[in-house]
This record gives sequence, C-alpha cells and structure tokens, in this order.
Amino acid sequence: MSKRFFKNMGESISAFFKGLPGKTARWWQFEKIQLGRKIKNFPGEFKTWAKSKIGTAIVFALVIIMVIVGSLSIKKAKENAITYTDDYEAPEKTADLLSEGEYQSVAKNDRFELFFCPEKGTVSVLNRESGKLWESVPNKEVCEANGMTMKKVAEKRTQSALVISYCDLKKKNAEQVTLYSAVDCGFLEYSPIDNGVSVTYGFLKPGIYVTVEYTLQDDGLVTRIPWESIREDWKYALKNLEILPYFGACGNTEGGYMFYPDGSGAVTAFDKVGERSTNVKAAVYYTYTNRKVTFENLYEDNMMRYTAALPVYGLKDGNDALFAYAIEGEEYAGVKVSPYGCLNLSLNRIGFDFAIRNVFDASLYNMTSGENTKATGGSIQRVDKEKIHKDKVVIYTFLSGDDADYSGMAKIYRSYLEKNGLIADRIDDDNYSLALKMLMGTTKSGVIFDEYIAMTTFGQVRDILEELAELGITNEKLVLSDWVKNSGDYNYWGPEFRLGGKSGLNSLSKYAAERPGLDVFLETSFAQCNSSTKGINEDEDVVYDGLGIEIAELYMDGSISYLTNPLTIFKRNGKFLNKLKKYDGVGIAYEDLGRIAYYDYNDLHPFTKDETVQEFRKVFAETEDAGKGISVNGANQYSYSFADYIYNLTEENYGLSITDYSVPFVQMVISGYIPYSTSGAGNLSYDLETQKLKWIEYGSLPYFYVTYESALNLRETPNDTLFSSTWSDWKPIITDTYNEFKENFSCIYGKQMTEHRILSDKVSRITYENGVSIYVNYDENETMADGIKIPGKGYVVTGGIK
Amino acid sequence: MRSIKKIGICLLAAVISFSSFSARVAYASENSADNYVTRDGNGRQPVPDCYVVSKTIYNLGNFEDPNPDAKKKTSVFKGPRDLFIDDNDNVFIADTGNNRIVMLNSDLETVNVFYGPEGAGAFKTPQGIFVDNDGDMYVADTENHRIVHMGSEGELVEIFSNPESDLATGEVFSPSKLIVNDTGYIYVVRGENIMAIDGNGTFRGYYGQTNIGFNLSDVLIRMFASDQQKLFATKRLASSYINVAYGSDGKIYATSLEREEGEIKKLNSVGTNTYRKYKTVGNSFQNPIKKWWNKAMKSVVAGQSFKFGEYFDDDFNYIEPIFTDICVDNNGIVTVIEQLNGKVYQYDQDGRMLVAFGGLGEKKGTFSRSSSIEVDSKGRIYVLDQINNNIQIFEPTEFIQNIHDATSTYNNGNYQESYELWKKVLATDENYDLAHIGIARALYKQGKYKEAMKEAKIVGDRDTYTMAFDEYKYEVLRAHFLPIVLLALAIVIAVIFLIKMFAKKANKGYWKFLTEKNKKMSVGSGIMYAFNVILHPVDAYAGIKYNRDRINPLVPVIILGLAYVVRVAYLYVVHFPLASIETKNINLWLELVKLWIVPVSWIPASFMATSISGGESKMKEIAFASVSSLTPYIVITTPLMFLSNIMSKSQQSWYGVFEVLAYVGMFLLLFAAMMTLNNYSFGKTVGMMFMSAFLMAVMWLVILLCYVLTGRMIQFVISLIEEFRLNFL
Repeated sequence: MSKRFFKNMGESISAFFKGLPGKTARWWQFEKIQLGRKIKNFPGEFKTWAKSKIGTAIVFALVIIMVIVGSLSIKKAKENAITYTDDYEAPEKTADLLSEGEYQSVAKNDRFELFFCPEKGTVSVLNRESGKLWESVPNKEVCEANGMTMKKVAEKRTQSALVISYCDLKKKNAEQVTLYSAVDCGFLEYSPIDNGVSVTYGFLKPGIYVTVEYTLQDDGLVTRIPWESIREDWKYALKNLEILPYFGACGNTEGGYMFYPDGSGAVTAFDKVGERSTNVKAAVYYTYTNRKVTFENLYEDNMMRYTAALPVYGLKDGNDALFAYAIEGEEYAGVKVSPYGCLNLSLNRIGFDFAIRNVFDASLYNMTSGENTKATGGSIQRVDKEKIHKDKVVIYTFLSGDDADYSGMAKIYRSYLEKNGLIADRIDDDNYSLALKMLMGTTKSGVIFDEYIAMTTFGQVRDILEELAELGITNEKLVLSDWVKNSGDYNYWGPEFRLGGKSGLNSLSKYAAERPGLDVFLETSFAQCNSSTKGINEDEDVVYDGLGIEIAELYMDGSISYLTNPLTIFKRNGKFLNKLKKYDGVGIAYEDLGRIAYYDYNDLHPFTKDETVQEFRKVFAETEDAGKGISVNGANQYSYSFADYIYNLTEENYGLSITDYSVPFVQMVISGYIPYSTSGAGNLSYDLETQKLKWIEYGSLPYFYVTYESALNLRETPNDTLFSSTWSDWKPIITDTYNEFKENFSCIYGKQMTEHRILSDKVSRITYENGVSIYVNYDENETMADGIKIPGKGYVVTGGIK
Repeated sequence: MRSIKKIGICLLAAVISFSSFSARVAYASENSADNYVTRDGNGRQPVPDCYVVSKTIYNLGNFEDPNPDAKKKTSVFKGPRDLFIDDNDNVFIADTGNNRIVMLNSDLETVNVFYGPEGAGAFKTPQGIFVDNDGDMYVADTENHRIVHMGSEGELVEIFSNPESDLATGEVFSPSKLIVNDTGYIYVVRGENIMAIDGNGTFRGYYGQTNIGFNLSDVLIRMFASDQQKLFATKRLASSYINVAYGSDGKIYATSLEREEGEIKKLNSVGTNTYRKYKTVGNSFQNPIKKWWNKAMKSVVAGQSFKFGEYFDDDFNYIEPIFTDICVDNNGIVTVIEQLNGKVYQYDQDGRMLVAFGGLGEKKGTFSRSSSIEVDSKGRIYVLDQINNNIQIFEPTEFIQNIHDATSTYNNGNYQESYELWKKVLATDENYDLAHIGIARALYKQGKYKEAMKEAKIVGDRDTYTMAFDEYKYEVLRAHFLPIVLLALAIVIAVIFLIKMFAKKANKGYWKFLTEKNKKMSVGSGIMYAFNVILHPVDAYAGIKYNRDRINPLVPVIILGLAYVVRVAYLYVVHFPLASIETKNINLWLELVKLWIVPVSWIPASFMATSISGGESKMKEIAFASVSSLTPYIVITTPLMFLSNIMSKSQQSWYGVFEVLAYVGMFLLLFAAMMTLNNYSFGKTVGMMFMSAFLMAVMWLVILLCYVLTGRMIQFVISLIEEFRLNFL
C-alpha cells in the first residue's frame, strides 16, 4: 500500500500545484462522472478510488488547517495589536510647576495639618505635636544647606511630586523614558475633596495624565492613585510611577537615617556617609518578589537583593521621623532608596515606586536552547497592554520624640496589621521551644542508578524527640524536609518508603499528637513542580510569562523546573489536606508560598500578583480550617494572619555598600504574635557563640538543622550545604544551648519586642513590652553600656520579672 | 589545526559535562555558598564562613594633607592598583589614578600621603609599592618608567631607571609590580621574567623564566621552514608573570599566566618553582599511554587533576583563571585573588585549598575588580578594588584560624597537636576534607593504621591511605603469616590451573572451527576462538581468513560487551589508591568510548586502507580480528583488578606494567591480524598500520565536524522557531 500511497500523494501534490484554477473545474467534472460510476459498484471500487485520492485529501486538509490557524493567529494578533494614530499633537503648556508658590492649608486634625501648593502641585504636612513641617519637596533652606543652586536640571527635578516612567508600547524592546513632574509637567489641575485635595498632573509630551488624591486622616497623610484615573492620550504607556520621591528628602542631618525593608530591615545612617563610596547607586526593594519573575530571581541571592517582605520605609531627620506603608496595591510597590551622592545629588531620598503595568523580560533563548541565557544574550523587555487594576494607596505617618525611630515605626505597622486583622492572635502559651529542622533523605547521582540516602527516618525522628524528652526538652517546633518520595520531583504526597513510609509517618504523627509541646510540620514546595511531577499538566498548571513561555529552568540532567499556577497550588493543597486527615499530629510547612508571589499569564487560569497573594491566603485559610498547623518559610506579610510558626526568617540584609546596619524590623512586627526562628542554624555557623547572640538580638528560638545519619553522607549531594549536622555530635550542644536559652529567655517568649537600639557597632539593646532589656555584645572584649558590664561575646538580661 | 583541537575539546567537554553534571541543581543552587573548597579543582563543598568583612575604606578619612605643594586632591581613591602591608601593619596604597601613595597606620587612619619625592618630580600612575624593613618605600612609577626609592618620610633616596644590559634592551621599562629582598635586590615583573636589579641599579639577570612549553607547529617550522620564512613566523612568547610577593621565608611568591604548573609559584633562590605542581600529585609512575591520555584529558576538561583556582565560574561558564595578586602570611599560607570570577582562594603551605570566598557582585565581601591583596600580622586580609575604589578588610573567623594553626603545626612536625586542632575544625564542619586528611596522617603516626585508612578514604586521600595500607598489610601478614602464605599458594595454583584449562578450551574452540567445515561458528566456540588469538595469533587469523564465511558476527559484539563489562567491573573493584578516577566521577559513556574507539574505528579504517593496496581481507574478518585484539585486555584485567586489592600505590609501577601489557598486546594483535589477513610483508604491514591510523583519525575528524555542524544547525532551527513564535503567535 505504502509505495502506491506515496506515489499517489506525490502526484496529487504536483497536480494540485500545477494549474490549480483551470484544472479544478475540469477535475470536478471528471470526478463527478467517476464518482457516479464508482457508486454503482460501491465497496471495491470506492475503496480504490478513495485510496487514489487520499493524497489530495490530505493536502486539502493541511491547507485548511493552515488557513484556520493562520486566521486565528491573525485575529489574535489584531486583538493584541496596539492601535494609535501618529498625529498626536501635544497641547499647549498651561502650568509651570517650577514657579514659586504659597502653601495653603487644606485639612487639619488634632495631630497634623495638610498644606497644598497650587502652583507647584506639592504638599506638606505639619506635625503639630513637634512642630516639624514635612515637605514633599526639599525647600530652599535644605537645598542651600546641601550646596544645591537649583541651576542644574537634576536639582530642579527635586521639586517633583511625581516621577513617571513610560515606554512606547509598540516597540519590541520597550525603552524607558523617565519624566519629573516639576520639570516636565505642563498641566496641573486640582479640586478639593473631603479632608484634602485631588491633583491631576499632566505630562503633555507623552500625553499621560495622573491623578493623585491627598487626604489627611487620623494616621497622617494618605495618597491614593486611582488606577482608572490614569489617562494615556497617545502611544505611550505608563510603566511605573514614583509617588512623592523627595518627601522629607534631607542632607546628612545628625542622627538621621533611612530605613528600608531589605532582609529583616536595613538602615543607611547619614553620619556614616564618609565610610561609603561617593558614587553610590540607588537600590530598589520590591514587595514579596522581584518585579520580574524568573527562576534566577527566585534563587536566594537575587531574592534577597530585590525583595522586601513588607511594603514599608522610614526616614529619620533630627528628632522627627516619617514612616510610610502601602496599604493597597502593595504587591506592586517597590521601595527606592537613593542615598546622599546618588546621581550626584546631595540629598538622601526614599520613596515608593509603583508598577502601573507589569513588565517581563522575554529571553529569546528561554529554555529550548539551553540554560545559558547570558551567553546567548537575547532578551527583550515587554510591557503589558493592560494597566494593573488596583489603586495605589500609601499612608505617611509622622513620629516625633522617643518614638521617632524604626522601633516606633514597627509599633505603628504592628498596630495597623492588628487593626485590620492581618496578623495572627497573640501567643498565649509559654512553650519556649527548640526550633529544629531535619533533612530526611537525599539523592546522590550515581553512575548507573541514583543512590537514595536516608538521612533521618521517621523512626529516627522519633528517637531524636524521645532522646530530647529524656533530657527534659519537650517543646519543639520541628520542620521535616525532603520526606516525600522523589522529593526532587516536587510531588506533594507519598512518604518515602525508605524513611518508614506511611506507617512511619503514622506512628510519628501519633507520637506528636500525644505531646502538646511538639509541633511537627511536613515541608512542601507547592509553588514548584517539574517535568516529572505527578499530575502536572504543562499547559494548565505551570506559570507562563507574558509571551506565553513557561517560567522554567532547565537542568543538566534534562529535567525542567516550573513554577506552579496559583489555582493548581490551591487544588494540590486541598488534596494534600485530604491525605493528611489521617495524621493528626502533623502540620504543613510551606517552603515557598510565604516568600514568593508572582504574575501568571497562563491562558486558562491567569493570575495577577495580587490575585496570587489572595490565592495563597486561601490556601493558608483552608489549611487553617482543616485544623492543621501552618509553618511558613520567609515572612511575606500576607502570611502573618495564618502562620503558627515562621522559620528561616532572615536575620540580615543583602549587604549592599549603602547599607550600614541590619535591624530586626520584621521581627519586631511579628514578635509576640508568631513564634519564629531565623535563618542561621547553630550547627552551620562558623561560630556558635556569635550565632547565639544573633538569635538573641533578633528574638529567635534557638535553631538547628540536623540529620540522624552522619553528615559525611551528604558529600556531593544537592544537600552538601549541610556540612555539619550529625545528631549524635550535636546533641549535647543543642541541649545545652536550649537549656541556656530557656532559662534566660522564656521571660520574653510571647512578648512584643518594643525597642531595638544599636548602641555601638558591636553592642545592641533590645527591650520587650514587659520591661526586659537585653544587651548583646558581639565584641570579644568586655564592654560597658548604660552602666552595665557586658561580657565579651556575651549578653546581659535586665529588668522585668525573671 | 588549532580550530580542530578546539572543536575536539568542545565535543569531548560536551560529552563529559553532559553526563558528569547530571546531579540536579538544588533549588537553592549550590553555587549560593559563599565560602567553599573545591576538591582538586572541581565540585564545590560549602564550608562555614571563614572571613567576614569588618571594615571598608573608601577615602583618606579625616586626614588633612599638610603638603602645600601637592595639589588638593580628592579624598577618595581612584583606580588604586597596589597594596602593601609592612611588619608593623602600616598599610600603603598605590592610589594610581590620583598619582599618589597613601599610608595608613595599623588603626587604618591615614598618616601620610606622598605625591613624589622632592626634586624628582611627581608620580605618574604608580602601580606598585614595596616597603622594606627600614620603612623605605620603593614605588613602581609606571608611566615615568622608573622605580623611586624614598625614605620613610618620603624623601628621595635614589631613582632606578632601565638598567643597562645586553639582555634588557629593546623594551620600554614600565615597572608595575616589584619586591625588594633582604639583600637589597629589586625584583621587578617583566614579561615572562622577573628582573633583578641590585642596589646600584645594575642589571643582575632574569629570574624564574616561565616555561614556554612544547608546540608541534614550532618544531615543524624549525624543521622545514626556510630562514626567510622563519623570520616571518610569529614568535611564541612564554607566559607572562602577573604579580610577585615576598614571603617571610625569603622566597619569592609569584603568579603567572603559565597554564602548565606555574599559575602560582614559590621560587627558590635560583628561580625554581617549589610550590605544588600537577606532577607532584597523582602517580609517580605513569605508563606512556596513560600519561598521554592524562595530558589530553587535562586540556579537555579542567579539573580531573589538581589545578589552582577553578575553571568554571558561578554560572558554569568555562574560564581560565588569572591570578591578579598573591600574598603570603608568616606561616606560609598563600592567598590569591582571581580576576575573572572575583574569588579569593587560599592555599596552605603545600598548595591545598583551604577556602574560596568573595566573587563578583554588589554585596559587601564581593568585588568589581580586585587589584591587590595583602595580609597583615593578625591574619586579616585586605583586598583592594580598582573599580569600587575601596579596600575591604576581611577578619578571619575562629574556624579558619584553627585551620591555619593545624596546617602550621603539622608542617612543624607536631602531629599530636595538629590532631587536636583538626578535631576542633571537624567539630564545626564535619565535611572539611583537609581535617580528615590531617587526622588520617596523625592517626598513621600514632600507628592506628586501620582508622587512618578509613579517614583517608572518606576524602579520597590516596597517599595517606597507601602509607597506612602498607603498614596495615605488614601487620596482618606478621600476625597470620602461615595461613596467608598457604592461601596465596592455593590461589596461585588454582589460577595456573584455570589458565591452563582456559588455554586448552581456547585451543579446542580453534580446532572445532577449523575442522567442522560445514557448520557455522557457534557463539561459545567463537569466543574461545577469539581468546586463542592471544596464544596463536598467526594461526588463528589465518584460520578465520580461510573460513570467513562461517564467522559468527555475534562473537565480536559479545567480545566488545565482555570487554566493557570487565572495564566497568575493574573501575569498581580496583583498589582505591590505584584507581585513576574516583568512582563518583566515572562516566560510563566516556569509558565506553575510550575502550571501543580504537578497535571499532579500526575496522573501516583498515578495510579502506587495505582494499586500496592489494589487501585480501574482507570486512567480516577484519571486524573479528580487531575486536579480538581486546582479549588481552580482558585476560589481564580480570585477575588484576582482584589482585590490586592487596596492592597499594607504592606497587604501582609493578602494577602499571600489566596495564601497559594489555595495550601492547592489543597493538601487536592488530599488527598480526593485518599481516596475516592480507598476506603483507613486514614492511608493508608497518606502512599500512600507519595508513589505517591516519584514516582512523580522519574519520574521527569527519564525525566531529558533522556533530558540531548538526548541533549548530539544530540550534539555528530552534532559534528560528522561537523567533517566529515570539513575533507572530
């Protein structure tokens, strides 16, 4: 059959292309006669006829399919196309925002008074308690004091209330243009609203108009940018927008600093300016996850470089401080820190930078041709057609006196979270716990077969817990990682049989259920899956970028990792909860949901970043309803209302050269509400004494990451970062450490950390709500602070009721 | 030729890397470790933090320049290129872009700034600074083409310009890095040499010339080119020196671009490198084939054997490290900075890596371009960055201090003390390789051989294992002399018996094939026949020549399989210190290729060669003959792998003879086959052997080219599709 088949097909194809139009009519006549003849002796002859024409049929079918696909894609392309006319003419300039103007009072309450300058479109707020006037743009005195003459464009730009970045949507590689309201605005309109004023800034050249509503509320100044009010008259699309970027901008005033949410919280102190480079660069921290979601950005290092767990920042100037936090659209907020000297401007400035549209990098060699995108280069930036449907609301509040520091800011943010039900209830037990993490299994790639290495079986977990109980340690927060079958495949269920399987897990969970002080969490990574994960459909369940390419990472062994669609995460979590029903004593540890949030352009289930956050909250809520304990890795703010325990909470900042100190801001916010342990494991530290001090300063439970079997087995496995973890070696050290901590620090367990103060480079003081103060000295020599002698590499606990 | 080599390298590297990196990269990628050690140049093992940044200096601080002549310069550094720390921990910075030398005291406060001594003109981009024990400064005043010797207050002592010598003419003298030894000789880096100048400014010769290495094309040019052509041929230069440092032991430490055994050097008084070299590692005896192979491998994949630095950066891109600067502390511990991946590598007195840290980045503790490194008396490491214009000061942690103490005490022969220190190191990091080695050696010295063997095996330390194993062997032998001798005797007798039986059977297979003229060769007797070629090559080959129609094609396939099985078994069974490759690094595909490539590609090559020059052989018998040349390998390796388990590295030469024997046997058999099958004379056979070898090489080349080109093609198509997808869908 085959030879004839191909012959026929070949003939038909050539016949088809030879003289299509003329021949078709004749052919049809001929075929009609033939057909008539064939139908007469139907079965045999028809078959041969059909066979002889099958080639033609296929060609026709192919053409039809191509036409359909082509027209569909053209239709899609037309839908997606950006249409505009090129005959846009910028309107006449009607306002000069650089002109001098008087501030008028527009709203007033007990604590603050709001002023607006109709000529400049800027605002200022008077803190009536301290008399400090906070201006949205630096005034003459500030400028003069810092040697600015207002002659250079860069200096004129400091008078802006708004900085926008836009790009041409039609250009494939969207180049960004930045405009400053003071210099580039040609249109200004304002109207009074309740307790404030609504101002529209018009950037005439690109034809972009933005409305900002400034209102005064009990907490302070509130700015709202309604997304629907953003008007674009021409081909340019607004990409991101900095709101009040120069609010409170000041020179290097004494004792002043900028606070921003880098890691656990970071501070750029003004009086340390001499210890920095003169040409510093600005840093931006995006809430929850870097704006561009790629696997590279989810790795630890990049993650910390660009990511903030909370949408907050602060600025301390003299005895006063400004604290700003985003309460709506915070998923799209970034904190932009530009220290003194940045862009040759002698001002310290900090502000929110909101994404108005989502941006994604499209790598031309994303995954098909290998993992090495850098070497091949091709990557273009694309911007969404649609704006993000979310208002951007920021509260600026003003502190003075003793409260005017980051501790006071933490207090304000804490009370905001509590008022809005965004944080869990206060800790009401007094189970000062030992934080443990155990690696259960790993895989060593072998020559023929990969070798599975059981590091801690379920039975051994129990042995460890029993050994601890014998020594009188009965309170543990225990996270079990890599317990699932083929843990590298990100399956959500199936305890590895070499670790004891279901029966092992069952007996452990029973044991855990009997022990009130013990919380066991099984670690899951729902946000990740790979090509071999069970039940994952690569169309439906994985995250796509704006070009319809999976966010993926190709590994050397050919497997591909994906991010999981939020809806799929929700479904998988539901299934997991079903499986977990039988096992009472164990909760869930979410390895990734508490630290990443992303866009998903998946056709079937698209998610914006805020929808993803909502979906994650739904996941947590479902788990909570099922009565399971929730433990979260990382500390993104949306997880606070559900987490029973937060682990791996960072205790440092990324370490840019502009950063002078890290401060436990996140810890101050959640202390008293959620027990937590920080990322430094005692057994992986270069010096346990230093690590202990870090735990004390950051209010962490003592934390160890151990295995039952010797850590020598972990050589050359993916887990070789765990270079020292053998239980038998660490047992005495762990028990000693825990006993020491329990004796000294159970008094602060469940209490709020109300103040953290850096007394010198190596000495800090931490105060809790019950009056307990702890002095921590990292230096090797004994020092004095507040008249108290603190031993070298040691600490002193004072005050309160011990 | 060069491009061919490159393609070959690419292909082999691809084959090797594809299978040897099969380990899944964990989510928190393993490269995220800031501090790590590598095992002989590959595979990072994270270790606890060894150095933490304690301070960063960007400028002169509160220093007021008292010198009215000096134009008021900015306080910040600009493109600084060199650092020096004297015995009192005063820090000197060659602030190149600002044309000055900055002096900080041990508290890191600026105490003096020098713009050039009075009466000698200002410095012009000084790139090097050295301070002797009296506090006299020697400045490499690069663009003034001179070396300025100043007193400790900046007063002029003398100026050295280009010394006159027959050897030193021609080039412009632009000194950059220099040291001054205790006798007052100045050593300046100059191309592939270090130039010595004495206190009078007289040229005292070149020192420690880098190795120019062997290059086939040079030899050919020398042999065949005319004098005129030779003139135009580009002269190959030896690799340049990059930097020098002066050790407290009076030795000169240097870094160079020399790829073979000289990236980091420790030069003795006559200029010989006494630091760790590749050849001091690994086997003392090497059979010629293996040596050639090792060399080939070395050029293909960096890392099988020891190398300084790393050949893959954090993103797994291939790099060839360039060590910009070197410093040595009082214990002889060497620290270098690498330019391409920004890492700081630290090695002990014997050149074993202690830690690697740093890297490129914006973080504290990383660099944009590190230009100089120094260490002070407290062990703090200072790294100068010429783009960030700063000095970062790294404070050693207790962990690394323990390591330093342990290596130093061991080097001083204090084994018990070093044992305790290594134990301390292991208490912090259970997986620290050197600690296991240190403990193994200490245990060996204590006579605890079995424990020493165990420790050494954990980290693959063959030398210590061998020492301990030899002692352990004698111990066992002494204890159970009679039973062991009896057992050995029994085994020898059994083996002889087995060999005899085997030979008999092989002979039987031979006769069976020859006599049963009407039957096809059966598999069993065919294999036996193949083994018979070892004993009677000429007869056996003649036999198959005249009965070629009855050859069973399954037999060569089975023999190939058998040889492969033996090879793999060998890799696993062979005694640990004798293994040429770590079990974890075994790549089954590579082993297959290594074993099969010659016999398999020999078949078409020799067929082609012989068929055009009067050969009588056909493909079938050539296939049988060349594959059966693997039989000596099988016969020798099988007992050898078991026997190796009572041998150690010290018997390696003895052991190596057998390995060579297998290869020689293979070659002889191929020779015999070609001669017999084609009825060639001896001379003709030799010629045809060469011819076949040449054709074989050509074949490989063609295959390589095809591979590379198809790869390109596929990549092109893929990118085309991707482009289409992005633009139109």
